[in-house]
Amino acid sequence: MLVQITELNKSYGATKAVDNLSFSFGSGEVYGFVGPNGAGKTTTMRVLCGLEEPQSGDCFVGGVSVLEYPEQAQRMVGYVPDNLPVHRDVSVHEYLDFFARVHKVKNPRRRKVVEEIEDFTNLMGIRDKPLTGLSKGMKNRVSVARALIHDPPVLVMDEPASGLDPRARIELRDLLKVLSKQGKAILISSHILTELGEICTGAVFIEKGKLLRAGSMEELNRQTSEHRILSIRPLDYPEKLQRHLLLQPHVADVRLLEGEVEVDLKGEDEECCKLLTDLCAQGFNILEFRPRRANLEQIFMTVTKGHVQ
Amino acid sequence: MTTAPPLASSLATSLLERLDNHLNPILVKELRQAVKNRVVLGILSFFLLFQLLMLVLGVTASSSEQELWSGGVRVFTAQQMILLFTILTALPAYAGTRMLGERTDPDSDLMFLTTLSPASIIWGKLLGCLTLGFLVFSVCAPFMTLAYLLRGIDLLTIFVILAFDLLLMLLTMQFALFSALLPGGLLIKRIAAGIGFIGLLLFSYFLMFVFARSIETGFGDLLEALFLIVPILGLFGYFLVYSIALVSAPSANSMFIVRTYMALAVVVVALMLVLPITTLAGLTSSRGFPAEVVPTLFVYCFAPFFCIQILVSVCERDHWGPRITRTIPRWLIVRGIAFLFYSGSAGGVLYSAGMLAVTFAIAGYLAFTAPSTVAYDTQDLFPILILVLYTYCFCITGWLLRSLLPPTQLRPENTWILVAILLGVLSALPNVIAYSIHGDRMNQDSFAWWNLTNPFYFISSRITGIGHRGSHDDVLSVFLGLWAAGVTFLALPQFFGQFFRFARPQAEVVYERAQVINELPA
Repeated sequence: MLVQITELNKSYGATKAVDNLSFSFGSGEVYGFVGPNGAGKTTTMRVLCGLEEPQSGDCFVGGVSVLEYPEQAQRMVGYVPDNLPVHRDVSVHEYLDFFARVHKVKNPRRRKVVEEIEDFTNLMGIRDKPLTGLSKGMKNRVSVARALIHDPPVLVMDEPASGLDPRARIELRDLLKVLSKQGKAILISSHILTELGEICTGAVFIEKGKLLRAGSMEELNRQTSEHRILSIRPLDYPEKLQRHLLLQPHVADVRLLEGEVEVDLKGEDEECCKLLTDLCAQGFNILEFRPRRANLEQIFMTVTKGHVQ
Repeated sequence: MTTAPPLASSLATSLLERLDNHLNPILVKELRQAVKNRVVLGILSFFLLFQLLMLVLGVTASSSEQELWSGGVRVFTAQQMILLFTILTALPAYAGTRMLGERTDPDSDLMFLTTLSPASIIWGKLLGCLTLGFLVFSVCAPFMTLAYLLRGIDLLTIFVILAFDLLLMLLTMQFALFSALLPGGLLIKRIAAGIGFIGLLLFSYFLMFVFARSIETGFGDLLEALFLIVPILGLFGYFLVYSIALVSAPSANSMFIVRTYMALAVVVVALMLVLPITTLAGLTSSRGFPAEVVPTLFVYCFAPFFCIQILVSVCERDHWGPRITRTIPRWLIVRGIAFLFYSGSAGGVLYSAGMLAVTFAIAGYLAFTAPSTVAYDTQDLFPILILVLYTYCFCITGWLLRSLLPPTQLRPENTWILVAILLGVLSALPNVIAYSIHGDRMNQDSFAWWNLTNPFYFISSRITGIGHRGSHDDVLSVFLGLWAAGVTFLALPQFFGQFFRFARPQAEVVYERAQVINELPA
């Protein structure tokens, strides 16, 4: 299932919330949607879910235009808003049952589906509690459960981790990993980049509604740094290794860091392999040799300027 | 050894399950919420106690013999008053508050995030509220029927009044939902709800009075009963379709249903009046109803709604999204008709102006084809014609001004603010200028140039009779006619521009684009 956002434009009065935004992601991918406050993340997500109409551009879910066929597109998208709507006098089970009914899940299948979702999202213990009495973490789980009730192939999550305690965050992260393995295409916005980095297979960076960078983590790494960064841990003689590396033609720079050597290498994967072969041939005892990936925080700080609107 | 469940039991379970699957999800949710709600339980308990108290008082407080024979009327009247208060104010307020609560942004999931159609949402909400109403009725109805045993009132009257109460409840509930769905802030919604409820209360009590009189004299004809029921059902339908339009997604062709309904309403009522005009004239005059007011009443009933429609239309979109354009008919004539009914400012203005013309034309037809015994005075239509012209002129002027502003300055949906400012300025400013020229010599008793753009002066002069002169009517008509013609001429590029943009995109292009996107790597 391919999700495409193409040349999206959305303004609120004089404020351009989304400015010619285009990116895509697919099944089994978890894409982080990153940008400063007011960058246009929520607006983009709302357009993708058919909640807002853009001035121009379109979103396609599995080739179905969200603008032309919103009903069909909405069947394929589960949306987790940044806060759970409060319905008074409704229990967790009744809330999920309501959404199962809305998505035309008929009994006796409905009973089974709701129970499975409650079990999957760990809500069994609180299914009879009223929604208004739930903690932020529990509400968040209910929101995710609600988005999953019709088993959509695409999940759009707006700041699902905000306000969660550490345990709830870990649970959410594990849940997302499971969902990703199930083949769902997930777009998730968050300000907690370290956590996002652990689960994302790709990311989209926007600022002032404009796309700064988008792609898989590999692509982003390549785009962010012109050099490939390698971490090499020798068994002994790190200084000797540093000297040898500095003499190599494809090596731009070498830094010595607590028994580890960090190398800026020009070139692709082939150059890495050649370098490793050369080091082994030269008799260096290499304990660890790994290309280092820039994390989301580093990429974010590199690509954004902190502009808000 | 296991025993199979009895056939009857399994059949009942399967039947209930099927029924459950077909219930409106919003209705189920609303009822679940209602049975847990303390306010609802409180209202029901209060009603039970109150009915019991009224019955006891009705039986014990009858002192004279005459009172003893009319105890039922007193008990029934007291019960009816409290029931009317509940169904006209308390329950609609509850329904409106709930809708308002779920309409706020974080709760948008209920409205748009589901695959529920806007009509299902509104029907579900309405049925949920009506069920509460039925609960209140089920508490009251047995006691009201028992009033029959206390004498003074017959069973038929009780049942007819209860049926009428139900109709009123339907209307007020729908109005409450409509008020809660109005765009804008809480203040606007509250003001609209307040004005609307006062209007509805007056309307309800007027109808109740006419109804009570009809019960006393007996229904002469089915037509007369229809005459009472049609306005209630008509208004209910109006609020229903408007509510559906208001919960529709922003990209939807939301006004189509409203415009179709209003056009149908005019046609149906016109047919009801045109076909049996002789019967109606005979019936109404025989029952003391002045038949000569029928054309005027027809215009006064419909023209305000089309005036509102003009204001709504100028606040509508000037461009259509792909969701609407893909449904635009290709054939020019059908496209032309669709242009009038689809969401869109130019089409909406043309539709409303056209329907106003049709309304006046029908009224004219009714006047000309009436029996010679009925004397119509076409002058009765003059005030509403002037107010229609005022509405048209102000709205189109506001619309034109908005089109001159950059889109970032004023969004189309806020054009009404411009119209309101224009109304205020043009009503007050000429007076201020005239005062600066004439000073205290300004004669407010006579109709003068500085009042030409002031509709409030026209209304007050009509009501009070001060400053109202026949020759000024002519001047005002010519002035408003020129103003309307002028703004229409200036708006021609808007009308034509929107009509030419109102076209279906090439299907092949859309198909190819989707294909290309599908083939692209993620």
